[in-house]
Amino acid sequence: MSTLALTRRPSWTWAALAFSIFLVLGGLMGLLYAGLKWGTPQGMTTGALALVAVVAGTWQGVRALRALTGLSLGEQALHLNAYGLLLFLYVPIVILVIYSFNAAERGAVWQGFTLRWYQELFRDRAIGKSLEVTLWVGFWSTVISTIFGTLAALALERFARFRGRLTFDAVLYLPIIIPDIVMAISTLLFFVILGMPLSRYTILIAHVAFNISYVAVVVRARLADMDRTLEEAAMDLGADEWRTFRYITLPLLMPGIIAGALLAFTLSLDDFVITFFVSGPGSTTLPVRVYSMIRLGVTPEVNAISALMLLGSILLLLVSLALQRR
Amino acid sequence: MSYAVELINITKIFPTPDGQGEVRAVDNVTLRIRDGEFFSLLGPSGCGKTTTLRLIAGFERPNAGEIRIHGRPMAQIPPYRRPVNTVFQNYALFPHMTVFENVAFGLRMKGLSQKEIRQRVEEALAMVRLTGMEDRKPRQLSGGQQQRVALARALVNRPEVLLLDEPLGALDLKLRKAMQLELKSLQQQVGITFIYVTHDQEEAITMSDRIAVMNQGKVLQVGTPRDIYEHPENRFVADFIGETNFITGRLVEINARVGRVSLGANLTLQGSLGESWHGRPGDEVTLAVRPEKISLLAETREGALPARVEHVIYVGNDTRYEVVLPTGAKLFVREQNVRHTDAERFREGQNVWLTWEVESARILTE
Amino acid sequence: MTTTTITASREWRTGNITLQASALLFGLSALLWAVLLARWLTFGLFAWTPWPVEVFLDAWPAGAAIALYVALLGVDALVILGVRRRRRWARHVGLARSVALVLLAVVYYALSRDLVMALVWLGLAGAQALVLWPSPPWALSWPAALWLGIFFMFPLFLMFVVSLGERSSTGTVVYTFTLQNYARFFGRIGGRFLYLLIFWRSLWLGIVNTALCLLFGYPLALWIARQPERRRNTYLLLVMIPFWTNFLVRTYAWMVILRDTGVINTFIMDVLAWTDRPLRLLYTPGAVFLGLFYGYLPFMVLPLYASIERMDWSLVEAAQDLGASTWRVFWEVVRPLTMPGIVAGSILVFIPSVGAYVTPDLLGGAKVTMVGNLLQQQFLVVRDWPFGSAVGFILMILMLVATMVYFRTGGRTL
Ligand SMILES: Nc1ncnc2c1ncn2[C@@H]1O[C@H](COP(=O)(O)OP(=O)(O)OP(=O)(O)O)[C@@H](O)[C@H]1O
Ligand SMILES: [Mg+2]
Repeated sequence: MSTLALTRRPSWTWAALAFSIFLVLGGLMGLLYAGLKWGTPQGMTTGALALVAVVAGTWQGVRALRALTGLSLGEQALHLNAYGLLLFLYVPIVILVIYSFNAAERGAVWQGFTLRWYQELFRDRAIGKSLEVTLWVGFWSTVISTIFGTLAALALERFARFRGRLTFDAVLYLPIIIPDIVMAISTLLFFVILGMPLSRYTILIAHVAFNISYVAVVVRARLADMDRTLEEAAMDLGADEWRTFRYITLPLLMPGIIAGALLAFTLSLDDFVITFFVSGPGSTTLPVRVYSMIRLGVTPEVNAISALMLLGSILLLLVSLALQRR
Repeated sequence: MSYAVELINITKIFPTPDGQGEVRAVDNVTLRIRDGEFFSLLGPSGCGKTTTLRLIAGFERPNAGEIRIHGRPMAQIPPYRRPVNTVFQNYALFPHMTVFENVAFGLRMKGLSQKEIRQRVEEALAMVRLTGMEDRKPRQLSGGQQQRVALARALVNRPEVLLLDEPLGALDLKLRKAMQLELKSLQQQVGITFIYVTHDQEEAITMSDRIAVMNQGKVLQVGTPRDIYEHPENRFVADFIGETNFITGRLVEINARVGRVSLGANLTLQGSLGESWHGRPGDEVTLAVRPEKISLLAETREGALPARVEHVIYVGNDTRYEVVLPTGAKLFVREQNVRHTDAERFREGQNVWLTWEVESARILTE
Repeated sequence: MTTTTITASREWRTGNITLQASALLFGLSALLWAVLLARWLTFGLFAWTPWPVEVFLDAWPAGAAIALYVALLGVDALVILGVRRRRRWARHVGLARSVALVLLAVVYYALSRDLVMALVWLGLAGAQALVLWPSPPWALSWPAALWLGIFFMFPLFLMFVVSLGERSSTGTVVYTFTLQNYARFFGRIGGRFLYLLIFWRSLWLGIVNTALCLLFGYPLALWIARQPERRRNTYLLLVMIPFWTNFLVRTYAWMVILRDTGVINTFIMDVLAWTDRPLRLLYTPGAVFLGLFYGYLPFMVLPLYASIERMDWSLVEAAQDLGASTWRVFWEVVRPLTMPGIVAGSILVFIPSVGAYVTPDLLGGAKVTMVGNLLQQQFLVVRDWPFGSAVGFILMILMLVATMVYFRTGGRTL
């Protein structure tokens, strides 16, 4: 049936599709207008007409699409949902990036292209300082939590039976399950009650605490997939425990460890809530700095730094994917 | 006689997964494997073959008993200091190393010089006919090639004993047959003691010098392939190796290791008694006869058993007859198809007579 | 008999790792002493921080420090040698040296207030003691266990203790061990169950958001998994980028769009000129909803995708072959098989949604709309820590119970 329509009048079907898209978009605009002028006769008529346009446009569009592609309604909905969601995920980010180049000091009216906000960013020493803190915390928390998390994963997977194992297992999952705000307040309490001044070290301590869990989970998954007979084969060939670990277990585990480390690094760079609570006056990280800039009233600088952070995340993700593909 | 490997009263107990009961994977096993021998462990799945091998390799520690390799007790020796190497069932090739690195691993662990390592690895790869594959990763090899890499990786260390755990299990039939021959000739060439685990009786019989048949953690019989096939000592061995007819009856008299068995219905048979036979006339016994040892006759003869043909099944190289004795017992008989008319010699429903040599019928203990 | 076998096996299993690790660790500390010694001997010429010259005017600490480092260097070299030769005494000397180093770290911190160096010493001494002590192999889990115990479990315990206290007039905690904070949480404030209401709102937002993410995210995950190989990876990357992008940035992007001078309002007012009063889009419950959905959608899609991808599609074909309709195939085959993904995704969305702080704070205005805001307000604004702790504790328990129940019903696989 649909193929019939296709062979008979393809150009008509294309036109119908275009018209239905026009109807739906126009109808939506009409609905917005009606919402703004609610109560006036003008608004009410527009609203009614727009509603008709949206319904008719949708119906027409579904039919035209079916004729063109042969997709059923359900499959069309699946495609629409997917494209719609991907668009939804990216529109705000893209707008943000575009506006980071807008010359306007306030408001969203486009007033020309500029790099001024980026220049101001690089001149801002406070941002440089918080970037330094962020990277410092990120680096050290990654190092420490990767080592500790990997060791914990080894203990759990390779020496399966020991007393307190179940407890340890549960404790290891807790930081993932507990909301970060709870972790934030309890850690803050701890530092304050113990009289530890809040500094980059307190941030580091908190970050390691939650990163250990993520690293351990990632490494454990990899370890569980690993074939134990490989280690036995190495021993059979004369490698003692240390060399078996060094030449067999560790190389095979490396992708998991790298994945865990990159996850830890990203989590540390991105964390706002916990850092916000346990950072001291001289030790703000980039997210905390950005937050206070937002709270102080938005400046275009925030757009610029957001765009840069976005770029950083994408780069990190690509590096991580490349490393794991190897 | 010097022994390469001695297992003395070895027992290995595993807890069951629920932690309540226990599994005796190896149960009071004593084995003495001679130097330079091709020795097979044969038995059904789960009988403890792999566990026995792992005990020798040192991956498991026995709950009781002692293991010696060339007379040296192994109790305190970790796997990496035992003079044995293993070819694993799934090969266990290191996926992140090339073929060369895999084979060189053991030599590197011994700390040999680069030059010597290169030379010996090349020799080993040439021996298994894999020259030119040095730089491939294991997953770029076929199953048979992987198998040979595993073999080279073990043999290159010149172990005193080589342990092989169903090394041909993953190969197709044809490759399997070819590899059986290759393995056997390789073993004769290098002169290393092989301990070979398999659940394939044909494989064990064609390759081994001696076979140990295992069941449920126990060794039931040790002997040469002929011994095991021709003179099984108990019902399990007779049943597990090849095809066997079991006939039950009452032992009437014993005369110079030949027993006369009464089947009832006025029928008596003769059978040979195994060396370990301890019984008295009057006992209920089982007689085992292989189908191919029975001859079918169209006419009666002195000492022949009357029977009736129930089914005739043509299987190509020979014909299988299912015959019924007057007592109601069913027997299988195999006759070779020497001439093209042989398959038509007997028809279903025809009366026939059965004979066999006294040595071919074994009287077994239960 | 079994126990003796096990201990014996542990002996030779750990033997060589102990050897290598202790050689490494003592080598490290020896290196440290060498560097510190060099720093003293070169008068701070190669120091990474300029050395205060005054110190050298006073010969005594310099001499003492040099003597100390030389001695430590000697002892460590001795230990390394002994350990390599598997000498019994090496273990004892090493352990004694570790204990000495702990004491030294304390003294050093007291004198110099140099926290980092003291911590390095402590860490080294701890690691060395751990390796030399005849420890079981699962000692590998001790560093993580220790860290989580001190910096995670103990704070949670402290939070519980504080929640039983009261706030003094100056904002400090008085440990009175009452349940009144909990009573306050569950009771009426000015005739309304104020806090329960906030709690309930968070919970409800969490549930609805999880349901929405599942409703929209599942078809998306399914759609991606059914794409041809190359395009599939591209789409997957498109979902992963938001997942890895800073949450704050993504929330802020919506502020740019929704605020009074934002993209939408500029469009309506300046471009279309349909109105001169901005639409109130930001600081509304709708904005919070939108932000939560936007923020956590990738957290749902990725685990779902992972489990759909892992699924054996021939099962779907088998079901179709047996005459099941598309919907039946989904419900009877695909859904049960992807249950691990559904469970993981739901937990990853539900927990942060309920405990969300950034989204309601930035998109909902600084009003106390959700538990996250309440906690922030109690801790950083009102400084009523006991009450805040009680709320936090209740939130934690609730999340744990919810996760456990969900795991039970969804099959235990993560
Ligand atoms: N690590 C273990 N824990 C518990 N039980 C085990 C363990 N290893 C083996 N078993 C049990 O011991 C028995 C013997 O196992 P084994 O692997 O030796 O059998 P097998 O003869 O090699 O069998 P197959 O031919 O199938 O490989 C089995 O019942 C098995 O379930
Ligand atoms: Mg086996």
